[in-house]
Amino acid sequence: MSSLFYIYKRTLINKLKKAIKKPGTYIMILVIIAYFALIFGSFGSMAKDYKISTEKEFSVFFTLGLFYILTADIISYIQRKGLLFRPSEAHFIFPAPENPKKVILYAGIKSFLILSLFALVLCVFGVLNFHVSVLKAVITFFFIAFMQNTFEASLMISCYGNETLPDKFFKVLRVILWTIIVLTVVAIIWYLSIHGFAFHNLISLVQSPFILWIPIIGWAAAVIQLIYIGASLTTLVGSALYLITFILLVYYAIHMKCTGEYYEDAAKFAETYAKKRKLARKGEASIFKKKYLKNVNFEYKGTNAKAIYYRQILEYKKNRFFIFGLYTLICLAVGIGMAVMFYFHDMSDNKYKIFIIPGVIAYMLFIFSSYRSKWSKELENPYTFLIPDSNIRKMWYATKIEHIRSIFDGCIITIPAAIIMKLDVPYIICTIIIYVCLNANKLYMSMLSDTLVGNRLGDTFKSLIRLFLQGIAMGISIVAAVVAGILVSPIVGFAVMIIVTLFVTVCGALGSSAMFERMEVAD
Amino acid sequence: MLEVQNLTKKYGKNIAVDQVSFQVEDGTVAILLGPNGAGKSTIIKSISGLLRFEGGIGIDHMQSRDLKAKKVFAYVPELPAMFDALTVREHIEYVKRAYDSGITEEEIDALLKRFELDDKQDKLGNELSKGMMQKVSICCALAIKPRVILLDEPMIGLDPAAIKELKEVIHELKDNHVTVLISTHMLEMVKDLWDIMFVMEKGKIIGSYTKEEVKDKDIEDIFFAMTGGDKNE
Repeated sequence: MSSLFYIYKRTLINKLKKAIKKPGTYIMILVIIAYFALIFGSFGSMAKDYKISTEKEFSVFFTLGLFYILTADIISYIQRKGLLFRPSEAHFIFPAPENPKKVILYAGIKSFLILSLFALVLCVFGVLNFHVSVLKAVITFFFIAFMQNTFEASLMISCYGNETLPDKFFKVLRVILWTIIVLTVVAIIWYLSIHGFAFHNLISLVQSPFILWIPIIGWAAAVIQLIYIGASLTTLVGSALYLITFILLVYYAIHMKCTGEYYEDAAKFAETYAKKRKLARKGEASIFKKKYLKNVNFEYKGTNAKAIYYRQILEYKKNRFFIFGLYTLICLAVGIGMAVMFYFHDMSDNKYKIFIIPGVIAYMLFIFSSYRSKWSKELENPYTFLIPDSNIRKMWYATKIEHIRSIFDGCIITIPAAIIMKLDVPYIICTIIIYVCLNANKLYMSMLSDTLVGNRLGDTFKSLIRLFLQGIAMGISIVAAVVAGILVSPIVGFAVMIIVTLFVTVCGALGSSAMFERMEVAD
Repeated sequence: MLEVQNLTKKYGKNIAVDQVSFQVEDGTVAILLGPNGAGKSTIIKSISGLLRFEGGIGIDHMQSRDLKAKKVFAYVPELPAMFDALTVREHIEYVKRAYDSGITEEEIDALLKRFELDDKQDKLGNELSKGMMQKVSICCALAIKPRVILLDEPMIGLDPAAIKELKEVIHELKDNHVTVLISTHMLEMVKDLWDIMFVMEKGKIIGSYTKEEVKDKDIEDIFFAMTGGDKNE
């Protein structure tokens, strides 16, 4: 595999060379170390608290983790999805004299590494927290890293590269697999509901033939149980079935005919995936596979920058749900969720109740800070920059529809909860204004981070800057509200919050209008 | 030599290419012409092994999916896609290894210089402009030292100097008995290159001409006469 290995080797070296020059890399390393330290620490103390720190219990955790990973892997192989090829691979590797089976392994290497990493982390974790013997940990790691990965590689080749078995066979296999998964989940819930949701019941369930004799996934788990709890009829039968399947599958994968017919689907998928990745990087995501556009009658109005707004209206009119979409549903869910919560936990007498909805709104906007809609596409259009109008007007008309939409979103988030909390009408209106301002803030801070960072420091750093700016904007309003609320009264604090938020929004708008000056900023 | 026999490609019920057969001899430059949606790219992709198809495709008397056939076959796609983290030089190095083409370091240097990429050989794939990507794609195809080469709209995105160089390369390939198939819309660009022309419409070849047959007749006149269009439209 020397030529394919060459791509991996050089890609890794070049990426490392580039990464060490970026400050974002070091931040990311620190975050990852902190994350793993946190996970290790909290699991360790949890294991001590609940007195689950033996090899037997470790094997249950390992089996559950293995179940999760293997189920996801096998589903994706049988569906002939999950292997990610890039357009560059369709260009250079598919027409090259590479063995198509090796090309599958080349694409699957990430899955093998993830599985090996999973085994390594859990084995270290087991030795440190569950008194697992080093020998058993090493055997487990080698079982996963070599045997299970070889098993998965053979399965990958047998599914993706198969040119003999008809599509119908894989469709039937998918149905069987999903049936097994659903039945297993239902049976587990049923078993635990009868015997009680206790850890010792989970152990007996995981070690029972019911789980360890589930084809492939259960058989792999049987090998793990054989290593940790020793030989029993259940573990021996499961392990033997695993070994037989392993030998048959490896033999089939080696001798199966594969001339590369899968390249057609892989190249198509690579193209689609590249497009989706491009959109995802810009924070745009669609839950719908294809957009259905309506035919509409529309009178085109507006000159100069105003034309942007009317064009957007036309585009939205063609949408099935006009300006509303997934985000509207999220707002509705949050609004109803708050109303239900306040119905059961009465807050109507709370002195600071007027700050509760703005707090939830601020948190929600922070969570969805990367979500972008049609306005961001304006910056990809050269005509936006050629329109003979001022930057501020262009920015206003490019984002006007977003503000209109946010009035609607603000209403559906605020009104249900406000009614339950018995808020007065002026407060409800002010809360909606705060939502509109915070949403505008999010939009302008996102633009501002693009203006400040451009393409110099990469997407990760740009996201961090955006979150930082958004945090500052929200922070100023919150601090002002808290200070005024403590020093004067909650009502004055609320009024100060609106004024400061409005002021910060206007400042953000003025700063970010520079995005409309030159297209190179948006590149 | 390139042989296409009864090539049919269907997408569901839609027939993109219908029973197409043609042959391009060694040392011959063939051009595949046709309006948008005629099926040119489908034929090119089928020959390159990127699509499933019915019928037969032979490269130097071998089945096109045979690894030995792929070893002597080069393909320049319409839209080049580079490995983000490989440099220009590393793209060629990969091709050299994958095809075991025997191209020397000196030959690679000369190739890069010829397409004005010698000062950009350390640039990464994601740092290249579309025109540069196209040049790298052409260099990679030439680094194979192919017996059969397929070029899908090769001149798009190239600067005039690179177009001139590519035309010279095609003449050299022909002199070295390499089979060349070019799919293009840019009739003007291939005027002096072709030996045999295949005109396609609606998934079928509606005419094929050799240069001797048409003599001094203008390529555009032939094309529009076949497809029913007007060159002044």
